[in-house]
Amino acid sequence: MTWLVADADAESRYRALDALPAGPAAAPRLVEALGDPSWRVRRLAANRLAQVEPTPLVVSQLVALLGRRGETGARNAAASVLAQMGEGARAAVAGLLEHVDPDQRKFAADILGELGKEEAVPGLVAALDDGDGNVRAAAAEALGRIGGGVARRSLEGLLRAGDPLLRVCALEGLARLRAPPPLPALAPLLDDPLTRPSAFRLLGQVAHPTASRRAVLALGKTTTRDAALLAFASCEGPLAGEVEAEISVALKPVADAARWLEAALTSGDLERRRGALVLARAVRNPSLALAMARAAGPDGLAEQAVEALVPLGLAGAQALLDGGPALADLPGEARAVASEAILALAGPSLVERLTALLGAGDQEWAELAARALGRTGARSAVAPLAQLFDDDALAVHAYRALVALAGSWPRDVEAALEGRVQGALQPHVLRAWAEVVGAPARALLSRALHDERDDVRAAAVEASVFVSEAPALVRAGLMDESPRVRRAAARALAALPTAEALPLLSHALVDLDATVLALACQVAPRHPHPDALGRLAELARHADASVALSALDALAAQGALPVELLLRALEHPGPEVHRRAFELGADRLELVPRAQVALAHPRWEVRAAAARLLAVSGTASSLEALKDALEREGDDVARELLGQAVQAVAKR
Amino acid sequence: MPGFGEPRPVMSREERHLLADLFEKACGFVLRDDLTFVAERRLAPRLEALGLRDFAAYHRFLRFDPRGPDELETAIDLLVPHETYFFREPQQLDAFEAEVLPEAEARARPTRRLALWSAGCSTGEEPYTLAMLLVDRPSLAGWELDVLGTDLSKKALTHARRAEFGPTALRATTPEQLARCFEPLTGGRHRVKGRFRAPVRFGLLNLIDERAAALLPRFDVIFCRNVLIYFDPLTRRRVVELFYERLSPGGCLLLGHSENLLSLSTRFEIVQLKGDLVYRRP
Repeated sequence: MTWLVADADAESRYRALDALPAGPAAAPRLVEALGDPSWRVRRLAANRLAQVEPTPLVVSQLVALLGRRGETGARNAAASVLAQMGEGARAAVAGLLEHVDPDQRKFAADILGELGKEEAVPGLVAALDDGDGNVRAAAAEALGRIGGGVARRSLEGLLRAGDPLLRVCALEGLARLRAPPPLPALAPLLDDPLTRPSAFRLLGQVAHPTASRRAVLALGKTTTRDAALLAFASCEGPLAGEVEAEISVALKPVADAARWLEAALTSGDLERRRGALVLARAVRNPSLALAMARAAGPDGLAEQAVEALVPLGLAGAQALLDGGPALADLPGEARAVASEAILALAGPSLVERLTALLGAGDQEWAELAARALGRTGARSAVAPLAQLFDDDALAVHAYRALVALAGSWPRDVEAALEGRVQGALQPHVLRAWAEVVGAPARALLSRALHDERDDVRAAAVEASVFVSEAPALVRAGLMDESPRVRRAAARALAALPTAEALPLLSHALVDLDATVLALACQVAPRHPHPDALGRLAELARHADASVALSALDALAAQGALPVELLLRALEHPGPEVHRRAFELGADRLELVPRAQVALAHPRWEVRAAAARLLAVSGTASSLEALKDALEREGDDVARELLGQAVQAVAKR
Repeated sequence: MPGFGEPRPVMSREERHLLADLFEKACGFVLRDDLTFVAERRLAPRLEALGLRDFAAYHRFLRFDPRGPDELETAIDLLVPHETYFFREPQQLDAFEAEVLPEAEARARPTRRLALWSAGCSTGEEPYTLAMLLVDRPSLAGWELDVLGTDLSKKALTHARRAEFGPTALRATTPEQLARCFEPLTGGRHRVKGRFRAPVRFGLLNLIDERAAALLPRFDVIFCRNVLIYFDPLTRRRVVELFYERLSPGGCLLLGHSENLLSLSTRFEIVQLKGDLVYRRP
C-alpha cells in the first residue's frame, strides 16, 4: 500500500488562503503565496489576485516575482496574474522589454500579447530585433495577438526572416489576424516543410481563385495534403461550385482519399474536422455520411456538418440510415446533425429504412423516423405510421405525419385509421380521424365526449373544430369537471366563428382554474369584443402569473392596455409579469422611470427587458442609469442589451 | 404550431438563457451558449409534439402548464450528454484497483461489505465496469458487493438496466474483457453477463435534491467522472459537499481527469497515488 497524503501543510495553507477576506488588504499575502511550493495554493492565489485592483505596489511586486530565477511556478503564476490585470499593468510590463534578463523580456512580450493593447506595439516591434531568439518569437506572437497596421506590416516583414521559427510565428500571427500577405510573399513558404502548415492556413484566407487552386493542387500530393486541409479549414463561407468540382477531381485519383477524409472528420482536432467537412461537402461521397455527422463534435461544427450532409441527397440519408449500430451510437451533436439531414432529405425511397428505424429500440431515433415518414410524401409510409398509436411517445408524431400524408393519400390514411376508431378510443387517433375525414367524425367525437378518460374527452373537444356543430362540443367541454378538458375547450374556441365563440369565451373567462383562464385570455384577441375587456383587465391583476401575462397580452393585442395596468403589473410578484410589462409598454413614457429602477432588479430577464425599453424610449436622463447598470451587469445577455441601450440613448 | 415543411424554430440567446435558468434550477445542468444547436434540434420534436410555435412558447409551457414539470424532465433528458463507455480512463481504474481498493478492503474487512457509488452513471457503463473490476477479485470472494449507479435521466436508467451496449460503449474494451464480461448479441451489440449485473443496482437521483440524497447510505468509494463539468460552480460545491457527507471516513472520491476540487472544497485530503490523484474524506 503506497498511500501518500500529498502535502498536509499545503492543505492548511490552501485553507488559510481561501479564508482571506476579499479586498486589497489580502494582496500581500496573495502575492507571497504565488511562490508557494503547492500548485493548488499558487493557483488559488493567482485567481484571487486577478480580482484585486492593480495598484502600482501590487504590480511592482508581481513584476519582481518574474525575476525570481529557479522559481518557475511563481514566475508563471505572476505572469498569469499580470496578463489578467489589464491596462494597470501594461506600462510596468512594457518596461521589462529592456531588462537584461532574456527570460523577463520574454515574459514581458507574452504578457503584453495577452493584454492586447496597441500601445505595446512599438516596444514589441523593437523586440523583434532582440538578441535572444525566444524573445523575438514571443514578440512576434504578441504582435499577432494585438493586431493593427503596424503589427501586421512588421509580421509581413518577418516572412523573409532567416530564422524559420520567426517565419512560422509571423504566419501564425497573420493567420490569427486574418490578414494574409500578398500571394508572392506567401508562395515560397508553401513549399518549405517547416512553414507549410502555417502558410496553407493563411492561404485559405486569400479570397482568390489562384489561392484556392494552389490548395486544391496540394490535395493531390501526400506530402502537402494534410497542410492543404488547413487551408480549407480557414476559408470563410462555402466554396464556389467550381472550386468544389476541382477538389473532387483532385481527390479522385487518390487511392485512400475516403479513408484519409474519414480520419480527418473523426479526429479530435477541430481545425482538421472543419477542413475535412469542407472537402467532404465537395466530394459528395455518401460513404462518409456518418463520419460527417460525427465531425460536428461538441465544439460548434454542427451547422457546417448539416450543410455538408444535405448536398449528398437521398444517398446521404440512406447511408446514415444504413449505419446500424454506428447510427445508434452517435453522440448528441452528431445525432442532432444526422436527424436534421434525414428530415431535410426524407423522400419515398427512405420509407423502408425509416420503418426499420422505428423498431430499432431507440426511442429518439424512432421519433425521428416517425417525423421523417410524414415528410416522405409516400403512400407506403401510411401503414407503418398507423401502427404507432399504441406508443405514447410516438402517437403524436404518427398523428401529425398521417395528417400530412393525407394531403396526398386521403383514402389510404382514412382506411388505416378506420380500424382504430372502432374499439377503445385513443386521443391522437381521434385527432387524426377528425382532421382527415372532417364532418363524418361528428358521431365519433360525440361518443368520445362521454369517455371515462379525460385525455380522450379533451382530444374530442380539440378535434371538434374539424366537424360541424363544433360549438356544442366545445360547450360540453367547458362544462366538463376535468380542467384538462376545459383547457382543450378553451383552446378550441380560437377556431370557432366569433358569434358562436363569444358567449363561450365569456364563460371560459370566469373559470375557476387558472390554467383554463390563461388559455381563455390567449384566445380572447381572436374574438375581440368590448364586453370582454373589463374582465381581461381584472385578470391582468390575477395572482397567477400565467393568467396575468395572458390577460396583458390579450389587452395589448386589442390595443386596450392602459398604462395604469402596466404600472400595476410591475407590482406583481412574478418577474415574468414585470418583463412582459416592459415589453408591452415600450412606447409608454410613464414606464421609463420604472425601467430605470428595474435595471437593478435581481432577475436578469427583467433587467434585459428594462434595457430594451430604454433603448427605444429612454431619454438623455436614462443614460447615466444605463451606464451604471452596464458597469455592474454580470449577465451576458442583459449586458449585451444594456450596451445596445447605451448606444441608442447616447445618440439622442 | 409549426407544420411539415415549415422552418425549424430558432432559439434566440434570450430564450436559451430563460430555458437554461429553468434547467439549472431543476438539476444544476448548465445549457451553455455552444449547446444552442443541439438544443434547437433535440427540442424541436418536443415543440412539434406539443403544438408550440417557438421556444418562447416552450418556456412558457415549462413554467406554467400543468404538464410543465414532466416536460422539463423530458427536455433535460434530451439535453444532458449521456456519452460514456466501458473501462473509461484506464489509468485511473488501474490506480483504483491497485491502490484505492486495497485500502477500502482493509477498512471494510470487519463487515466484508463494500459499497461504491457511480454518481451520474448515465447509461450504466461505469457501474458495470466497477462490477467487472470487483467481482473476480480474489480478495473479495464471498464479500457483499454493492455498486449503486444513479442518474437523473429515466431514459438513461432504462437503458442501463437493459445492460445491452453497442460498439461505441465498448470502444475501450479489450477482446479479453469482452469475452470475460459480455455475451454477444446481434448487430455488434453485447450484453453484460449476469454475474456482473448482479451487484449493480440503479436509482433515479437528482444530485441537487438534498432530501432524496439523504436516503443514500455511506459509501467506501464514489466515482463522479465528467459530471461536475455540466454544473454551475455553486451546484458543484453543493454536490461535492454531498459526496463528502455520503463517504465513509477514509473513503475516496474519484473525479474525471479534467475535473478537480479547486475552489470547491477544502474538506477533502488530496491523495497522490502512483497513477492518479484522488480525494479522501479524512
